[in-house]
Amino acid sequence: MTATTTPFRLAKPDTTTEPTWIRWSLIGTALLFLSLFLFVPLVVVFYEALQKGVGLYFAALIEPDARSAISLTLIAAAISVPLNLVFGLVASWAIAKFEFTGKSVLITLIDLPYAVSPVISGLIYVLIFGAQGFLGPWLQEHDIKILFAVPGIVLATIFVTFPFIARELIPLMQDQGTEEEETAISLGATGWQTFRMITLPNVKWGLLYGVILCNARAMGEFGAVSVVSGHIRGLTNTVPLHIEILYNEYNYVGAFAVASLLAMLALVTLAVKSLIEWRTGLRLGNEKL
Amino acid sequence: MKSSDTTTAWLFLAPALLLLGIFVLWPMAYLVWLGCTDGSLRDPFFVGTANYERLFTSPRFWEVLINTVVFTFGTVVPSVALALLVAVVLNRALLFRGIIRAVYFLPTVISLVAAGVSFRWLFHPQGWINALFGLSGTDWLASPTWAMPVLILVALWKQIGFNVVIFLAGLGTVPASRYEAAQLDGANDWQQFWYITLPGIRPTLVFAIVTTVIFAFRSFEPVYVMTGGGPVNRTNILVYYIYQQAFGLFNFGLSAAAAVVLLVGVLLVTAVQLWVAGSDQQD
Repeated sequence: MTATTTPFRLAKPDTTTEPTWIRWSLIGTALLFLSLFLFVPLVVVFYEALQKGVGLYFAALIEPDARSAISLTLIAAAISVPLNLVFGLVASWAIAKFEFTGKSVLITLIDLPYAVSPVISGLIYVLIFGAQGFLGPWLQEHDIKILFAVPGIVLATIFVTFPFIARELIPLMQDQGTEEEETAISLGATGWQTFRMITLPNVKWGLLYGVILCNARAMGEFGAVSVVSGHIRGLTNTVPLHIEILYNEYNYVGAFAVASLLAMLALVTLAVKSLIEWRTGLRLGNEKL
Repeated sequence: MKSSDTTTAWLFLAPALLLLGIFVLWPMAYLVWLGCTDGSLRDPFFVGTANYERLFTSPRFWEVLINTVVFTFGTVVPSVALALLVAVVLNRALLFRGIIRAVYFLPTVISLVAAGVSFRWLFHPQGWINALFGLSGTDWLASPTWAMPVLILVALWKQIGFNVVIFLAGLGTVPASRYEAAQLDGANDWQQFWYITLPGIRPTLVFAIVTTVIFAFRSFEPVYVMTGGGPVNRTNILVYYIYQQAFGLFNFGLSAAAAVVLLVGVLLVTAVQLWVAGSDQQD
């Protein structure tokens, strides 16, 4: 799939004929209606989380199961995001700066996790790493635990967030071409120096952009993780799984308090994303989640 | 750079590709193979197309397919049409573009579970919706009539802002001179939209439709969190069915076959997009 990567043209002339006030009330209504619709769940989360007071809100966040879910989510993101970062850099660098046979196949492969439902990627891991699975007996023999443990959760997260960073960087690096790198190399720079001093600074904002979107998804992923985690309280529950369990136990304050963490994560992600767009003045890459 | 770079590039990519192969490609091939077995994981027995025959002769599976189509249409048509309308209107507001883009992108970055429990609470018998409209005790998510529309509403919530952002980007690429020429010729707003905007954003439109179809095909969280496929199977869509077959009934062969059906569906939709993009390039 190709993304719309065209930057915004801000200078758009007036193309309408109706009076100004009609136009602005149209715009106002459209904005108001949709913003309300989009923000309602956020309002519900914060209102219900704080409804019984700040004390209960914080109590719900520091109880042991919640703390364990938070730390597991942080661990999963701390492993999967850097790995995807390295992969994204390598893949986009190779795709943008080299001409080689099989390039389009590689691009398709990077996009593959977009086509596979997260639940199915989780299912695949269960079929392979589960006790009854393909590698199950071998893993048991060697006392390696992947499913219903941190490695499985990390694997599922990596699978789902695999294309995020590469997809941001490929169009950006393609736009920048190879001239600067070639100049650096002709001036005697080594490959690593060229990468560190030319390529990396040129894509730093795009990279950050990809990382925050990747991170938001890594921390919020439910489907894939839910299948491989086994929902063991205090052990293999991530934040999204914990929210769902609390809600089903009618612990609404707890569920919404923990959900408020994901809501805040979304707000921070949006703020950083807007800041990057404002700093760089262009819209980067594609925006699939 | 030259084609001799091929070796360098692939060597450089080798470690990443190895991981991709082990954790993405091989598992997917294994899934396809498992769909042709009896699904016993320790010692799978090859059964050919038996799982597919079982699927396509099962009334329950057809019900699931129909639900998936309803859910997909219900999500794609309004989210694309409304998003286009909103984007055309907003395209005139230059001042707030940054804020607009941030606001509309919110559902894309928030976890669907956080949103799912919120919507479940909104439509709870004692929830905000009933309170707002003065209805007492209507259980929307337990109603065979209303459960699916509520799920579609959640999908719309997730996708509409993304489509608005995509359309705003697409609208920015239509040359302003075309509108000026049309205005000189006396074209009204509707004619300008029909003859200039719509053809001008055709690739964006196709992209938005395809992305939304794939989003709908892959949807799982709203069903899992809000309805569990019920009531009476009304909201059981394909991914949830695959999940049920695997983890509720341990029919791994059938589940894998259904997963392959889903994958083929997604690939077909992607092929349509590539075909349209290819014919656009030829024009």
